[in-house]
Amino acid sequence: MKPRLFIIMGLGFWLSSPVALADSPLNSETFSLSGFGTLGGAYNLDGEANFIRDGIQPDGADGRGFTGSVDSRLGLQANWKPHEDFEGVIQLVSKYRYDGSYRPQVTWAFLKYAFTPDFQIRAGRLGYDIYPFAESRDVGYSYVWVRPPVDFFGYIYFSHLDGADLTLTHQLGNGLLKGKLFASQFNDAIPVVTTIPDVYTLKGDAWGGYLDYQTPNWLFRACLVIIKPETEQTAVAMLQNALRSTQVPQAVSLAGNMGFADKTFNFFTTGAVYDDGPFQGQLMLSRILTDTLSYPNNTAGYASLAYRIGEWTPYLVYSRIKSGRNDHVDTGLPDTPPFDVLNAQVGLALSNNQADQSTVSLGARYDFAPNAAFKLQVDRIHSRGYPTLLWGNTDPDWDGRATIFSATLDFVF
Amino acid sequence: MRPLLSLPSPPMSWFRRWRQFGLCGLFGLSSCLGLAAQAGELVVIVHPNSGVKQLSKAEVINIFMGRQRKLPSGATALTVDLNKPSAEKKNFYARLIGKELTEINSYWARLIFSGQGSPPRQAETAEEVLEIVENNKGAIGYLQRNQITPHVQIVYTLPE
Repeated sequence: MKPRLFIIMGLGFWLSSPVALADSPLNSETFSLSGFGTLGGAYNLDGEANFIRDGIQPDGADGRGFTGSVDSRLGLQANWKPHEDFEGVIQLVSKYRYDGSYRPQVTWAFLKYAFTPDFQIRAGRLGYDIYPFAESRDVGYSYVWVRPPVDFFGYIYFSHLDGADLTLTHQLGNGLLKGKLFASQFNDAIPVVTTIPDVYTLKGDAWGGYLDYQTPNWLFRACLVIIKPETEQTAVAMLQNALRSTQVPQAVSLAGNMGFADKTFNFFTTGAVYDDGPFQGQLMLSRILTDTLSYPNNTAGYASLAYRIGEWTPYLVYSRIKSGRNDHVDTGLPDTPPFDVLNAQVGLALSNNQADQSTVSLGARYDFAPNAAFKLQVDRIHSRGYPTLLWGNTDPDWDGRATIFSATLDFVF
Repeated sequence: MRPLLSLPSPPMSWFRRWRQFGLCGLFGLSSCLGLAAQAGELVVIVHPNSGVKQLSKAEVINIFMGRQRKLPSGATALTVDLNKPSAEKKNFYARLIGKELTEINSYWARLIFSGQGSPPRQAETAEEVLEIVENNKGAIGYLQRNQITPHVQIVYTLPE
């Protein structure tokens, strides 16, 4: 479906249901249908790099007009709650995907059983709800920004996890201590726009958990997720074969260290959220440790401040990501024909998942209706080399600076 | 929203009056009317046999924001909210956690669409809130003090 058609359909749907705007859309019947959506887009003032929201998008705002694909999306959800301690949820989301389509995807489909009000299990398809707010990053109406900070959320590729989780809540003082453990499999398609254009089927196992402490005003979270992909990117596999075929020990060893399959990715995240009346503040930090040269360790974080004044909520966000550098790894092969091309390709592949970028975002949310909000945001981005992790195609002459203007309409129904 | 003129004028410091005037000027009459809408004294109520006689503010927040699904007695909490954006509802959330109703909707949107739970049961009228609380041991709701009957137990009074 073309983006324009998607937007017109969405607008028509929204405008044709004025009743939903008048009343709260949130109810708790045995069976309920609800939904959410975002219409809008981004304009990239500099046309030398394709601004994308996350690594699942093959193309983005490239300076040729307002790009609706970056932020527009539509979600539908059915809840079935035949009993207080048992619930089923299914959610479909249509958004711009790896293949350029808006084909809807099942993002949640699970059954939940509460053994006690404090102890519950969910099994089925679950959202990636380990990072705070990552689970609802498609629901624009639920946060103040136009989009979650790209430097922090832009490389979370998992649209869902298939598995089970256990949650235990315990009152501690004024607050609640909540722990979660999960085990699951992931399966997502990611566009590869550099090296050889391709679609990488990212499949494997993920497990981990988090610990929350929530008081009326504060939320603290610490989480650990361990991810083990079992699939390899085509371009990386080809380079591994080429390196192994040289039979040079250093090249063969490098081939083993540059894959994704059977490697381990450890995601550590910690953060705090402060929410007091009109004021909302967030500070999040993450550290990714890996044992593959194709995805160097990185550290990322963001700080966000928002203050509501009447129906307006202006906000300011600073986000940053910095990864290690693996692009000058020696293959052990001479830099002369026929090996110079292989050396260059290996260097390119190893720099693919690096980032050194900061963003300052300034914006405002305007709650003009009980279930719809309008947002405006301007981002000033500084990418200090290796822009491939967080951008679509980039011009080699790009100076790494970009200004993005965004406007969205977020709603729930 | 109730007509502004029919409501008693609450005590208000000069600073709050000034701030309200400033916000009216900046953000239009609708914000001004919203800020000025008042409900009488609001109380949180439960079933008389729920085993709960009193709740702290933190406990009321935890229950109404869906963070804790039980009453201190251990019973599963059945929270009851008012469906329509009335003055009582607006004041309940403003006094409890300083939030506007749009922020409450936004908060629940995150929980609902990430499978973390359902919002409180939505009652159409004060009478329906009373009926649910009077007939369910785990039910917890809020009303104006002058709307309640002796068949419910007050566990928390919201500061004005």
